[in-house]
Formats: sequence, C-alpha cells, structure tokens
Amino acid sequence: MSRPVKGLLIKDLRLIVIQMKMFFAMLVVWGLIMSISVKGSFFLPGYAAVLCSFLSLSTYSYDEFDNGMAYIFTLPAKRRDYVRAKYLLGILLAVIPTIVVTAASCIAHLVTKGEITPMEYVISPLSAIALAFMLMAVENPIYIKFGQEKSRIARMISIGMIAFCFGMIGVLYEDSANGRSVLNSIAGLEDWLLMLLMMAAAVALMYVSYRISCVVLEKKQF
Amino acid sequence: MQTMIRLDNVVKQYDKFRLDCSLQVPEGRVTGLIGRNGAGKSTAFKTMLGLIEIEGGTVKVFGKAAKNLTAKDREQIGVVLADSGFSGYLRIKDLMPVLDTLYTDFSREQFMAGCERMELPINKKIREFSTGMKRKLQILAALSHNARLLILDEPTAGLDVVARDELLNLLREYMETEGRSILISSHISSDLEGICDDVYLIENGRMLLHEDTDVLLNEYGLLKVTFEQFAMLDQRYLLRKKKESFGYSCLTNKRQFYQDNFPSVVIERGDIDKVILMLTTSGE
Repeated sequence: MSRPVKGLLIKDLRLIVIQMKMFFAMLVVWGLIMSISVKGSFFLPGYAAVLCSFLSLSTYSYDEFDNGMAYIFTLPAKRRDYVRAKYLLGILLAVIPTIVVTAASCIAHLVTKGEITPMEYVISPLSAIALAFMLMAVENPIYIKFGQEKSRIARMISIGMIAFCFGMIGVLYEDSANGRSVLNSIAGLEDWLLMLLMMAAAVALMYVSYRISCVVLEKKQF
Repeated sequence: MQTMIRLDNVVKQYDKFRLDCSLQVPEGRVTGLIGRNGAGKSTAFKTMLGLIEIEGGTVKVFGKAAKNLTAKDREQIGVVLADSGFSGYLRIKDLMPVLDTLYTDFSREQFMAGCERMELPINKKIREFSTGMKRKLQILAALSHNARLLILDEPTAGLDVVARDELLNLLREYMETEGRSILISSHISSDLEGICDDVYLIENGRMLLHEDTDVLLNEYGLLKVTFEQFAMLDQRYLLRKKKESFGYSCLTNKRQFYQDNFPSVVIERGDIDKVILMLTTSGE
C-alpha cells in the first residue's frame, strides 16, 4: 500500500474510532443478542456488512466538514489515492466485521448445540459482503459527486436496493431450505456457484464504480 | 535561481468574477499577495494547488504543471488555506500518525514542541478550537515536514498580536535555510511589510502592482497638494491621483524627486495600506 493511501486510510479509521465508539458498542451488543435469538443466521453477517459499509460512507461528511476537502487535496496524495483509500476502507469494513460476526455466530451455535449449515459458514457471509460491495459501488461515486448533503436520493435508492436484495436472498434462502431453490431450478446452478457469480458481479461493479469515482473526483473543483 | 511558483496569464472565470493574473515566486524569496476581500487571493492560491481548473494560461510549481505534481512534490509544499483545514472531528493526537505517514520528513518532535509552545491541546477535537488555534495548528503542520515552499493564505487571520509576531518569527527562522520560499497573503499589511521581499497587489482578479517591499517603503510616497500646488506639479511620476476636499492626494514611486524639487508639498512615506487605498479606490 502506498504512503498516501495508507495515510488517508489512517485518517478515516481514526475518524471512525473517535466518532463511532457508541455505534460500535451498540453493533456488538445488538449482534450478540441477535446471534442468540435469531435462528436463521443470514441476518447477522448481512447486518454487520451493510452497517459497517455505511460507516465508510459516513467518513465523506467528516472530510467535508468546514470545507475540509480542499485541504485534503493539498496533502501529498493524488485524488485517485483518496478514492483508493475510501474503497479500501469500505472493503475492510465490509469483510472484517462479517468474518468476525460469522465466527461469533458459529461459536454461538456450537455452544448452544445448534445445527450449522454450509449456508451459515460460507454462503451467507459471502452474499452479505457482495451486498455491501454493491451498496458501496452505487453510493461512493454519488457521494463524491454530490457530497453528503446532496446525496440523499442516492441513499434512498441504495436503501431500496438493500431491501430488494435482502428480500430476494430471503426468498432464495427459504426456497433452498425447502429444497426448491428458485435460481437452481431456473439455471440448474448450485448455491455456491450462484454466490460465486454474485461475488464476481459485486467485485466487477466495485471496480467500475472505482473508475467512475476517480473520473468524477478528478473533475471536481474545490 | 529556480522559480518555485509561476503563473502566466492564468484565467479562471466564475459567474461574476474573473481571475486573470501572472505571478512569480523565486527561490529564496518571501512574496506577499495582498488585496481586499474577494480580490482573488484565494482563487490564485487554489490554482497553484491544483484545486481548481483554469481556463487559460499556465500554472507551474517547481517547474511542473500544478495538476501534474506528484505526492513526492507535494511533500515539499506546506499549506495554510484561509477557508479550509483538517477535519474538525480529528484531534491533534489523531493527526500525528496521519502526517507521519503522508510526509517522509515529518518531525513529530518539532510538531509536538510547537503544539506545546502554542498551547494547543492534543486531546481536544479540532472543531472545538478557536479560529486562532486552528490557524496555529495549520501553520505548525505546514512547518513540520521540511517543505521547500510554503503557500500560506491568510495565516495570520484570527491571531492576536503576540501570536502574529510569533508566527512571523517562525517564518523568518524557516527562511534561514537556503533554497526555500514563501508565498503569503494577508489583509494585515504590516505583517507583509515586515517579512516580504516583494509584494503583489491584486484587485478584481488582476495584479495592479508588483514591487519590492524596500522600493515600496523607501521610494513610494503620497503627496498631499492643493489645487494650486497640483497645477504647478511635475506630473510625470504620479501613478494615481485622487480628488480630496483640500486638493489632490497623489501616489508616486519617486518620492525623493518630489522632496528635492517641491519642498513645500506635504509628502507622506509610502506603505502598503496607502498604496492599496490609492490603487483600489476610485481615482484617476
């Protein structure tokens, strides 16, 4: 990782730690409660991945405070370094909490002698991460283009997308649990292959989104 | 001698404002940019830092187009912006690892010593700082990484007299190392008179004047003449005249000439404030 990207990443992580101690504490407590009470554990990694990816987006507003973006771009970092740092932060915040929550969830299941399916081990976390990537892919360029204040429409669109994706995945999960996976019956594909395709699509979307964000930021004036 | 900053016929058009100016900051010099609020100082600074696109002309820093400066080049520049700074949600103690990572030559000891001397709390969020404290922090950050060039937009704004004096001393110390330059803007002319080798006067996006500070202070003057005296006056060296109740105020860059040849005329020493007033208010 280059020095500029690392420096900007440290700034964002510090901002998150300072501002969101309470948020993290609530996330952990809520996650623990849900891991005990919710049987279908897809909810938990999805919850962690999506909420934490929102944290990465919230750092834009801290950068914008007091017209701070202008100062950031006088620091020894190119504009694309700024974009890289934001996407990297988003990826870290989607992946790490999801892994932690999934591991905690598995341990909770083992302790309570619950049944752990491959869905809980791999497919749920992967689809949660893919979902978070898609959310960030949509929101990042819009935040960069319009800023925190003007990007409310983007937020509404992405929340709609999340609800839709959750709904779709919920349907798929329910059906596959009953041995009648909708997509399997349509395409004859296994769950893991579908998840792999979804992940590949999310990564591709993130890359395209990153390139768009770079172009948008290059043109922006401060 | 290298030219650190060079603006050649730079044009930036906004709705009701047009910047159209040229400027040079040579190595080893402290150059001042002075002008009224809204004259174009901050816009000129933003062109040098690549923060805004220009519509015409060229902007070069260290001989490179401002847009093409690498991260390594930017490490050589310390910046204070009039209307922007570090995120107010950070604390100084959060800022240090960021600066340490971004700047190869960041001196944590020097930065910390500066914070202690200027009584800046390291555990307090920057948004809780006063304007003067925020300014001090930016100045300390700009001086903390061995930059070759300082670009300082209104660094003394919000500082009391003691802090301003302290800052100017810091800048003088900074210039003791060879190969460094400063471009500084201020609306407090005495700050610039005390530190700048040369000054540019900007008004409505255009440079009205560029002069060495010594020349401005020693050779410029303001003549106060009655209508009768004005009629008799040699007007070849008058840069500007302004009608007053008693007659005319006239700006000249040949004060000695008028002192020698028109001893009865009241002549005041030139200073930046007088020059600004004469050049930017309506006159002939």
